[in-house]
Order: sequence, then structure tokens, then C-alpha cells
Amino acid sequence: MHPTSCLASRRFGFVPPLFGSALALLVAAGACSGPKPEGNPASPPALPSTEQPYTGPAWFRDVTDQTGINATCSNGEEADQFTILESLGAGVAVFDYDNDGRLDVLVIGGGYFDGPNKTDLKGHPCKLYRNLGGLKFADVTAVAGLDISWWYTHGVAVADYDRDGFLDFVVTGYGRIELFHNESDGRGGRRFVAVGDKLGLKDTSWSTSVGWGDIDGDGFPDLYVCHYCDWSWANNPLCRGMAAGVERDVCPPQKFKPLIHALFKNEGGKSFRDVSGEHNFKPDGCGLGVVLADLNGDARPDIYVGNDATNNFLFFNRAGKLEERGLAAGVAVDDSGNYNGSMGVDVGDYNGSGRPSIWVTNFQGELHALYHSLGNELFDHRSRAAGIGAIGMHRVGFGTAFIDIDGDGWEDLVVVNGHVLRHPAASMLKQLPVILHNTPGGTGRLFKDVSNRGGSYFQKPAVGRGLAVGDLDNDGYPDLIITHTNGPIAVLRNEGVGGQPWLGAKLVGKAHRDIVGSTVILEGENKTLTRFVKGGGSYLSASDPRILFGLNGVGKLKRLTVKWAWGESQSWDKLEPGAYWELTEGQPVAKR
Amino acid sequence: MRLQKSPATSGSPPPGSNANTPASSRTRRIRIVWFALAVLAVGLVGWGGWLLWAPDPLHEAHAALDRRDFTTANNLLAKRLAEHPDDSTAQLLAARCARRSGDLARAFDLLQQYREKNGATEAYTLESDLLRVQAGNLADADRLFAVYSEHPELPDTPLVMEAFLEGKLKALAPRADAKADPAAAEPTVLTNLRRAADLWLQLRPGRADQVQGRVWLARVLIFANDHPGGVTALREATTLDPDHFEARFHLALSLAQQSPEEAWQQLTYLHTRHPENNYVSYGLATTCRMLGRLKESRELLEGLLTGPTEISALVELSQIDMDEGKAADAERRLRKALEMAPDNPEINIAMSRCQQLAGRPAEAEKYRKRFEELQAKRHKHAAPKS
Repeated sequence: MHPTSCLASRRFGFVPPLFGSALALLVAAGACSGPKPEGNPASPPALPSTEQPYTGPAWFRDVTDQTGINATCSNGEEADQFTILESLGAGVAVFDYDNDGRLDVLVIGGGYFDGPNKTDLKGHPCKLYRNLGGLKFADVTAVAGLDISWWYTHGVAVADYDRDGFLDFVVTGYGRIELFHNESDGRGGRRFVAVGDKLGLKDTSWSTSVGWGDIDGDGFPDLYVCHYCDWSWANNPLCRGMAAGVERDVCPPQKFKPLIHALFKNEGGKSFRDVSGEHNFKPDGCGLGVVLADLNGDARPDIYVGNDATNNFLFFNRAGKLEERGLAAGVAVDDSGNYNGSMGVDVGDYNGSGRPSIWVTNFQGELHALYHSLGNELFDHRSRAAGIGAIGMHRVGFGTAFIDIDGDGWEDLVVVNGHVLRHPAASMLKQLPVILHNTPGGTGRLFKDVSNRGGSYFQKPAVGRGLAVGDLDNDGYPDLIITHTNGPIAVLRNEGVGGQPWLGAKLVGKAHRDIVGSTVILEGENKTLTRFVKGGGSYLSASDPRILFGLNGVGKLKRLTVKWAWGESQSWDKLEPGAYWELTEGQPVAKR
Repeated sequence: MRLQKSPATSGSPPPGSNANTPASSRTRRIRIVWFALAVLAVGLVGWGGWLLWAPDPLHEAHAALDRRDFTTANNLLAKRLAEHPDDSTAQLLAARCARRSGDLARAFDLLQQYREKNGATEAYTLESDLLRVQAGNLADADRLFAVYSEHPELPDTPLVMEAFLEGKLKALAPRADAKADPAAAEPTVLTNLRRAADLWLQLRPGRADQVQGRVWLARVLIFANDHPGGVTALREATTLDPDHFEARFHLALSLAQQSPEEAWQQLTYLHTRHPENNYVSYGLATTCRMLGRLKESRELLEGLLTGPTEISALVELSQIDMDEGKAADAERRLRKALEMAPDNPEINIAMSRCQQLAGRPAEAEKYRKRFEELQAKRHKHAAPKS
């Protein structure tokens, strides 16, 4: 303590004697006066408040309990192996497997570590739920032939690979990928049979997200497979935690080498062949997200890949030959020129330009990337200008989608978040999901964080991973199905903004040829809306392939045009709102 | 002495009075003595009062230092030394004040003067050591810490902790967002830093020192990857002293990733109080751009196109130009920035973006490659942590 007191004894070498009480009184009064009182600090200033309280109805309602869908995706972390394998999670698919007009749900199970040393990788069961209507689902896993021995699983992608009119699916994971063929069970129902080995769709690598699309234009969907990194039990380093006092945590991907991805050419629905060598693939991307869509307006599906801790890829489809142009196109890195930890991906026309912009969810410390389409195969990182930065950079984004939540014709964004480390620094394992509302402003469109409108699910942190978007009750509003690591999935019904006009489209190619890469343009009196038919997308998940248009502000409908993925165009007039229309190639009349 | 009055002037004594008697003279003498004593007492009171309440530069300097008002302390000590150039106490205090205020060059000069005036060797040695540590020469830092942290009762212990914190943080975490590499960091480094901050807070209860201690604690915690703890300490600091610039500025920087909206609020508050501070203006401008408030960002940046922030403002403005599709304007700014700093990676990558937007892919590629070369060099030369 600094001696501010007793100044008299400091100031004078001695107290002069003799002089009367006055001086003594003065000395006594002056001594040991103590420090000056500092007084109370001023009250903290009131900072301007920027949050607008929301008092309207919640946009989404958690209906999981009433659906009967009771599935959990698990990663086996209870074995305390701290492997990077545990960090990826598992996805979910929504697709109409039995063609009854209602979307069914397939939940990927994940895995665990078994054996005396907890090094045997095993899979939790994947579960199939049949949509009974009224948001009720029945577990038909066993009935559909899916009560099999599973491996450590991650992702799923859906397509009719053999063009028999029924949707099939592929499941990825560690050391194995499996193709399940949708076939009759002989009793009027459907079941799935594993046919990967038989058809040559074999992959012993570590596969994550996959996406279907007809790359070579033969009408049959090919399969792009993301591979992650070269982790194995033989290559399993011990990594210290990032946070103070954390001795061990999951290793970052930079500790490993990226694996070469695969492209399986579908040979007439009868076999598959890995043609990655023919397209000069290199082992320079830890792939986690993939989306196929027509990204340059040439009516062919291109491929965008989100890689973790390496540059992202953009393959333009040059009449069946893939050319990687990520850097040149401006979509490989962020606006600081650095690669990001990319996970979820999607494509959408967020600004009404008619062109597809690319959206990527990234790691903590990085902005999620909005690559604004400039046309001519060029994109520009516009996250800041679009207001994306307002949600901060402390989250780790996974499943995501462009989705017109409120039916106003502008596609909004949803991101589910959750860290990959058990004890992250400057962040949390469980994180809040985010809704970004597409509004006018800024340099054209501005995304505003409206998560407070999302309902109870959006106020509770979770370890979010997969996200599938689908209109589960066919009311014209897209619902959400979300997976969590070591937690039950959530089914969220979209019901916040009711009564807006809408129109749905189910595209069918001639003889069920694959339609990924097609573009759908709806012209109204006041506005034109563009949507893209996509393969893959989000993270480890598969969404409803139908196209939904919110029609608020569009005005009277004039025409819907489909630019098919093989170059032809076709238009339909007189489509009434409020219904799904089946638009079949070559058929002039749409079927309601 | 018998007093004689002139009958004409002093008035004649009344008839029968005895004014000139020995008794009246004694009374008069006594009165004179009491009068003199009274004058003396008043004089003593006045002198005592002057001694006690007249400004004492050293006392006031100490009081100013307790408030961490180094400017006032420095002025008082300069005045004292001008009047008393041989006052070694004031000399040492002046050197210490300069060091604590961060004016290390002046501190060195004053300390040399102290030594030349035969200042106490032990005091000189300690102050020299602290000056080296605070300048970032950490050779003696751990030794000093080890000795003084075991003796919190010593009067110099807080000052040692202060220099230890300043010096270590300068070397290990010069940027507000610097974080220890968990694989490389020695655990004792973080533990000692934390102990130093805790000791300071324990030993220095004055408000100004408590605020500063919390700022150090926050920087230590953030460096140790305890970001929530760091933010809490900074919030406590700004509650204790809402106008403490460093605390609020660090708080804003700490919130930039997690809550850019609140960072904007904090920086706006600082900006209204320190409109002349270019670093606040720049931080506010970049936060505005992060939030998509391009117009607000542009206005701030246009005020920063001179002085130390000129290059940063040029680059950030060029980014806004590009956000708005104005590649030509952006290129003009970036060319100017490149003239001033051709080997800056950030400018080169911004130019790459600009060239791409302008439809010149080959040029874009050229600047991108240059960015990669410069980044690789920068990472290669990154200072190892100690």
C-alpha cells in the first residue's frame, strides 16, 4: 500500500517542540489523513439498444414429439477416444420412398467404439420413418429391410439411380459406402436392398457428403463422393485442447492429410465406376459438403465442394469433363484470401438476379461465405455487404439451406451450429441455430438475424449437424428436420407466416432421367423467381427435391419455365397457386 | 524605562491618577508580551498550515500515481526537480513515473540521471530491471516474479507485478486477439501471468489500479483462451470506470467475433468521446462493414485517409467500393496503397479481388500469387512464443 498517509511524519524530520497546542493540533489534524475518498464511479452509460423485440407468432413449432420420429445420431464419444471421426456427426434425408405423395424421413445413425480397447468401429442403426399424413410417422426400418448391420455412418443422398421411378439412396461413412435400391417388397410396399457391391459402387475410404447429378449427360445420375482425411487408428495423434486447462481434445483436420474424392459414373443404372482419375482429381481437399447445380447457366450440373481447412472446389461441367476453377471463380477462399473450414453448402438466387449464388457455412473465427454470382463463371465474396457478419463468428456452422420461410419470394437462410471440440476456446460446444431473413437493404439484399422469431427450438443451444428441408405436410411451407450429435432429431413445422400464396413443382424427366442441373423460372406480374434443382446440398443430408415458390408480392402468375439439365426448355401457363404441380418433360399439361 | 507622555499630546493624566507608577508599567509589559506571543502563535499557525496544506509536489505526485494520472505526476515531478535538482527521491520517482506511463526512453534518461546523482544502488538496480522487463527484455522477468510473488508484503511487489505483466504481454500477446498455442505454450507462463494479475488486484485496492488490473487480467485470460473470463474482467473494468479507454476498447475488440452488434455499441460510445482517435474510428468503420452498414463505414473511413491509418483506410474503402460494384474506384485506391506498401499481403489480395471484378483474371492471378508468397514469408518469420 503506497504510504499516502502520515504526511506530517514524512514531511518533517522531527516535530518541533515547545510550541503550544495549536501546532500540536495542526500536526494531529494533518497526520494520517488517509487517501482521498474516490467517490462512487458514475453509473455505466446506457448503450444504444439495437435488438428489436419480436412479439409475433413463432415461425417454427417443434412437433417432434407428436410425429413419432424417435431417432438419435450418436458419435461414440463416451469411449473417450477423442477421434476426429466423432466430430462429423450424421445427416438426415427427406424423400418420398413409396410415391404416396408424402415425404418420408431417413435418419442416419452414426456409430460407436466397441471391443476391449474401444477401437472397433461399429454403426448405430439408420432408421426409416414413413409419413402417414397429419405429421404422423411410423418406424418402418425393419419392414423396409434396413435392420441390417451398419458401419460408422455419416451422410445420405437420394436419387433414382436406375430410373425406375422410385427413389434410391446411398449412405456414407468410415470405410464403407452403400447403395440401397428401392424395390417392391411383394406385398404392395417398398423395401431397400444393398446393391453397392454388386454394382461396383465400393468405397473403402472415409466418405462424408455425397451428391447425385448427371455429369455426363446420359440421363443417369452419377455420384460425387467427398472424402475427408487420412485419420485411422494408426494415425491418431494426441491433441491438447485449445481452451485453458484442457489436456486433450479432438484433433483439428490440419493434423491429417486430405483424401482424394471420388466420382462414380453411373453406367446405365447397372454398374458404377470411379472416374476421378479421368477428371484429374487431386488429394487436396478434406471434403465435407457438396452441391450439384447449374452454376454457369449452361444447363449442365456443376459441382461445388466445401472442404475443411483447404480450398473449396468448383468443378464446371464442360460437356461431361470437369474443370476445377475454384480460385479463378472466386469461390475457393474467403475475402482475406484464406481457406476456411467449410462444412454445409447450398445454392440459391438470393438477390433476384436469376443467377445462382453459393452459400457456405464455416468454422469458428470465419464468416459464413456468400459468394455472390456475377455471371460469366465469376463470384464475389459478399458476406459483409449482405449483413452476414452480424451473427458473429463464434459458431461452427453445419447443415444449412436457402429456404423461403415466410413465403415472400425471397429465399432466407437457416444454419444449424455446434462445435467440433468438446472444450472450445472462446465458444461453446452447444450453439444456437440461426435464421437469416432476406430483406431489402445494403447493396441490394441484406440478411437480418431473426432467430428470435424461430420459436423455442431456436432459443436452445445444441450440437447441430444435418439439416433437411421438406414440406412434410404439403401445406406449401417448408419444414425442417435437424440432427444433433448425441441428441434426438428435431422436426420443426413451419407455421409462423400463414396464408401466403405459394406454388410447388415436382419435376419429372422423360423416363425418369435425372433432373439435377435444371433451372425453374416463375414469372409473375411483379416479380420473377428463380430456383435451382440441386443434388446434395446442406451437410450430410438430402432435402425435398420439389421446388417451392412463395408468391407474396409476385402478382398474377404468367408462366413457369423449366430449363432442363440437358439444354431444352419447356414452359407451362395457367398454373394455379396453392398446389404442387407435376411437370413432366415433354408433357404440355401439368398434373396437379 | 519610564514612559513619559507629553502633556500637550497625550493628554494629561487625570488628576490624582498614578499612570507612571511601576505597577502600570508591568501591566503594560505583560500586555506587550502577550501580544508578541499571539503574533508568534499566529505566525506559527500560518507556518504550520503552510507546511501541512501548501502543495507538496512529491505528495501530490504520489496521489496522482495512485490515480494512474501519470501526466500530472510527471508535471509535478518535473517542477520539483526544476526547483530541487538534487532531490534523489523525486528523481527516482520521476524515472519510475515515466516507465509506468510507457515513456521508456525518458525513463531511461531519468534513471541515468538518478544514478549520476549517486542514487541508492538497490533502488537503481530494481528500477533498471523493471525498465528492461517492461520494454520486453524478459531475461530477468521470471526471476523478479519468483522473488516478489513470494513476498507480497514488500512495497515494491506491486510495481514488479505491473512491469512483469506489461513486459510479458508485450512480448507474448502484443495484439489484443493473440492466443497461446496450447501445444507450444508453457503452462507456468500462463500461471505466473495470472498470479501477477491476481496479486496486483489484491495489493492495489485503489479504483484506478483495480481497473487497470482487470484489463491485464482480461488480456491474460484471453491469451490463455479463456475468452469468457476475459470478457467478464473487461466488463468489470468498464463498470468501475466507464470512461477507461483501454478497458472499453479491449472489450470492443473481444466482442467483435462473438457479438459484432455490441462491439459496434462499445466503439460508438468510444467514438463519441474520442472522435480524434483514429484507431477507434477505424475499428468502428470495420465493424460497420461487418454489419453491412456500408454507408456509415465509408463516412468514417474517409476521415482516416491521412496519418497512420491511411493505408488501412484506403484498403477498407476499396473493399466497400468492390462490395458496391465500383471496381475502378477500388483499383485507384489500391494502387495508391500498393505504392506505399507493395509487400503487404492484405493489399495484394484485395487487388486480386479487384482485378477479378474488373474482368482481368490474369492480373487477379498475379496478385493472388504475390499474396501467397507474402503470406508464406510472414508465417515463416512469425515470432516463436516464450
